[in-house]
Amino acid sequence: MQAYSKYTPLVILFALSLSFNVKAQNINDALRLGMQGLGSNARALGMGNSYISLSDDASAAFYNPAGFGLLKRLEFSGGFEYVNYNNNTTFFNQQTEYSNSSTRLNRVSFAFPFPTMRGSLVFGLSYHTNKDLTSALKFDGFNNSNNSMIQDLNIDSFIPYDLYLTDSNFVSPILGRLNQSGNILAEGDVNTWTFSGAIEVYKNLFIGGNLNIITGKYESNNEYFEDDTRNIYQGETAVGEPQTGDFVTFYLNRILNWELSGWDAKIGMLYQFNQYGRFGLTVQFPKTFSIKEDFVVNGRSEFGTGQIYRLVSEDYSSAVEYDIITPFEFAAGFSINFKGLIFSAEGTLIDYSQTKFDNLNGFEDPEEYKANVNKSIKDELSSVINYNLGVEYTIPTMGLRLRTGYFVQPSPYRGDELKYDKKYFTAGLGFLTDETIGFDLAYAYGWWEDFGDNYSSNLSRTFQEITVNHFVLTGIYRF
Amino acid sequence: MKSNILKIALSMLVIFSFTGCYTIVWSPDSDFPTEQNYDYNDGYYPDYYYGDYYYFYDHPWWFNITPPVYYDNTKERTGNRDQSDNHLRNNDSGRRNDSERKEIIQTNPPTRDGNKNNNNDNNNSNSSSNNNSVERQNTSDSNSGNTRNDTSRSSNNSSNNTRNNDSGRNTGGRR
Repeated sequence: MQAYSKYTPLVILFALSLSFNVKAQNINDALRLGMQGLGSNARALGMGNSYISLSDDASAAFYNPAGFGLLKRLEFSGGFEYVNYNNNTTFFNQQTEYSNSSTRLNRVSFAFPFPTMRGSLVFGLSYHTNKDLTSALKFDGFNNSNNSMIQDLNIDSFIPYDLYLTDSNFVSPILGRLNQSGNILAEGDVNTWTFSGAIEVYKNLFIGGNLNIITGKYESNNEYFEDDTRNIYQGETAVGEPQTGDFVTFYLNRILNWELSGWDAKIGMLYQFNQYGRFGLTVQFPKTFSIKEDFVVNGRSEFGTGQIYRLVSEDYSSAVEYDIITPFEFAAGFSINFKGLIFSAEGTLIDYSQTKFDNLNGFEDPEEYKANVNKSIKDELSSVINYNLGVEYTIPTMGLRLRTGYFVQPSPYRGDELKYDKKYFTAGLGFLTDETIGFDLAYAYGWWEDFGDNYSSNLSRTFQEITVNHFVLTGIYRF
Repeated sequence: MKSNILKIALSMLVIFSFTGCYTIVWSPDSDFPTEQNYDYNDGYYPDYYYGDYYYFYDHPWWFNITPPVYYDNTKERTGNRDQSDNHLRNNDSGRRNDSERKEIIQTNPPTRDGNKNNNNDNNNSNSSSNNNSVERQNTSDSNSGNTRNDTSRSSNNSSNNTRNNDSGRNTGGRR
């Protein structure tokens, strides 16, 4: 014990703990906010979110603000969504399933068309959920190779040292061959207050725009265990400390809390070809997310002697602020109306390599870190084209609408295989009563694969098969 | 980015301020847009394929309301306006002295047919059979017995009485 108290290079500790904290921000954080969400309109989702060229309701704030110009009646609308996220993880040949779900009020919108003698002038106010951040991951398997998170952390942090998993010279007898398990539960959402306006500038040509105030939150709880299930480490992990004999468990808990704010803008155009078709264009300007982050670290080590050591949480926790700026998004779409059958399609170009971190506060060397993380974004991410397809058929005698759709959000990682693209099949129906009250219900089933590393690269990797069930219910009152 | 947003906001303001574009917004000094004078676009949801959805999307809400009626407020009204607001100011449910009590407008009580014959104009043949029906007095008759006069409206501006009806005590306390 004495040796530990003498060996306290505080300056190094401070530097190392900072370097550990910096690990909390990476490409995954940027993509969490940068990738498109599923929106908040059941009709749109039922049609595979292929809605840029339709957008003739108050959800136009999300899809194409020019669509507000198509509204001729006042509209109150809103709805709910339910998200169920399932993750079937393979980790060292062992499969583990885990799921997480969330339910929320996802939209309240109002649209006001001004009385016109000709043309259209409409303003809208909306609060809606852009994106759901629910996710889950669980893994459990024996890593028979000679690496572990304990060893990885021992490179650039004092965590193994503080937990008596190393001696005073940072030497640990632990060389992998541990059972590794853990789980990550995450939840949160990105919401927007939107003020929109649209006008018909030429017959059947509408333009619109909106200004958005972003709010949101995100919380991730990551629990990680390394257990000596095969009783390999019977000796002392810290030589000279007999209470550290018979290593049993290393536990690390990382809680990430985000408070989101920010703003962005979108402009759109929509042209209607008589009764037969529509064409839409949108430009989503970069979204600036301002993030207040609290990162809390807890940990402990347990030994067969009954000894338990715990981390001093404050030594490894941090509170920082930074901005994530997403790239421009250019989208175009069209819809064709053939005797009550609407077919729509659209594509969106997003160059994820233009995502940026900026305005870092609370970092030891913010400029160096910003340069490094932005360079890694450039190196690892690329541009993609999302595409959406949708069909809707109206049965006029019943006021009933049937919909289906399909859309793909390609993986933004450079060179990723197709199996990592997010694919969604959607279906929905709508019902109208008394010309004023409409209900829409949509279901989206999403599936894709992903992988993640607990530490380093491809040493402790989880291979994930993800499925998502997403329900949206929207009510519309027009008067 | 902030400059981009400002440019967008400015552009939107300019666009929405243009009156030279296709859209003509109704203003109170023009006829209210109705189905007759509204310049329709081609709807995307024709009723023969979409039924009620046509009205849901393509029927302007202002067709369903009665056009607002505007009066010309610039003309002088010819009646003599009572400039006094004493009545409005002092009808405040506060205490009043007996001396301030004004005469109550006297109206004749309602009469029942068959009991009194002071309504000579009543030629209703059902009156004799329906004793519960109350007949209003002829207004000219009731005014003839009314002691109310119009002096308070036109000339009673000796306002001490009414000035002090301010819901405070009027029994010799502070003035």
